[in-house]
Amino acid sequence: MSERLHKLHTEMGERGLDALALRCTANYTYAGATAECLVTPRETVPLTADAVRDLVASGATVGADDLAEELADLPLVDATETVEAARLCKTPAEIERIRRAHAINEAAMEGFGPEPGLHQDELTERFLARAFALGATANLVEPVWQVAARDEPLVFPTVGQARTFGAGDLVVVDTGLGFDGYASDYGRTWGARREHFDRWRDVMDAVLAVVRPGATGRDLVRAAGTRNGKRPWFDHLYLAHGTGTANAEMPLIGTDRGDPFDESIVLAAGMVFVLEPVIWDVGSGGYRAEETLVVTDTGYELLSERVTW
Amino acid sequence: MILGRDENVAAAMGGRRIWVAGVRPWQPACVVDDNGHVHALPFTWDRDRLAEAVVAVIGTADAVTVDGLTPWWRDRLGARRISWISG
Repeated sequence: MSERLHKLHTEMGERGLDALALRCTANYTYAGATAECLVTPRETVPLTADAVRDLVASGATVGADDLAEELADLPLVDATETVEAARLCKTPAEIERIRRAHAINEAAMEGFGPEPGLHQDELTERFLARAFALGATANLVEPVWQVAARDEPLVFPTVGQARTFGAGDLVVVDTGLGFDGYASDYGRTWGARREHFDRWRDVMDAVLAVVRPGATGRDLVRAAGTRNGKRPWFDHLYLAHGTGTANAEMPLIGTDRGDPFDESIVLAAGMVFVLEPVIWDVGSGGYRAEETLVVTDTGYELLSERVTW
Repeated sequence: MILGRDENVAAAMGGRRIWVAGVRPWQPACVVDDNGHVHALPFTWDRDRLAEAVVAVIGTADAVTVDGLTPWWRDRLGARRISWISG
């Protein structure tokens, strides 16, 4: 994975950073460390306040993703965008890990459903036991088995319902497993109407049709369009989010940052993201599911299975 | 008191966040004022908007307490004196 470190060094160079102090798990893991670290073009060493102070005293420009109290008085610059830029496009080795994470997640979900009488916590226990037996190395998201009211707006995600499934429940599912440091994302809806699935599939296919290098996030938003005057995804979340080195990361498309931000996101080969449109009609419920893809030189390739009825 | 760490936010607001634990830099989720009133901040991906919401609560206070910080947020807090709570 030295290719990742090379990318990190390149982004540091482009931003005039001599060193990076990394405290966030996804960031120091990306740099190849197992704990908070200090990255310079020469070496990656454990992060200490003294080492950062010495660098600053020598005139170095040091970036940081997150400040510990003992670093807060130092003139460190924000390194969020530096690390995000390095993590944005995945290497072939990373893509294979993300593909494997999704395969494990899908296999772990195989055959599960809202069996009447089954408690949500029991389902979590069964799912996680199977996931780790299949090779998952981390659970990244508290599993969501949200029993949704068809006659109310969908408030997602809701965990901690502590419910037992009943016959005919509409259940919005979301899980996220890790494999060897890489994330998967799995979303489905159990007990939905075919009509809602078909409308969800239409949105998904319309968006997938425009995914290629050079397309912008705004192109994807346009392709998703509106349904009944509303954008077909959760207002507080997004149409798409990156995944891989964290369960949700850049690029974020369709957020409340608006059209200019979406326009600024230009798809490139190696970007991995999850599309998660939602169809919801208060009164009859709806459908939500997720598909994960990698942008290729000519279009895209799914890293998750295609969602079918 | 500006809180962003999950355990502190959960204690102040009686809720919890998912999706972001452990992977994202610190950012505020709520502000506790001098009277102990908890102000929930808007859920937004726009940190400029979030910073405006923080400033709307803390006003011209010349000192704040935080449970975390990033260089970006330190700059946004300007010349205010910053103290830390642990945990």
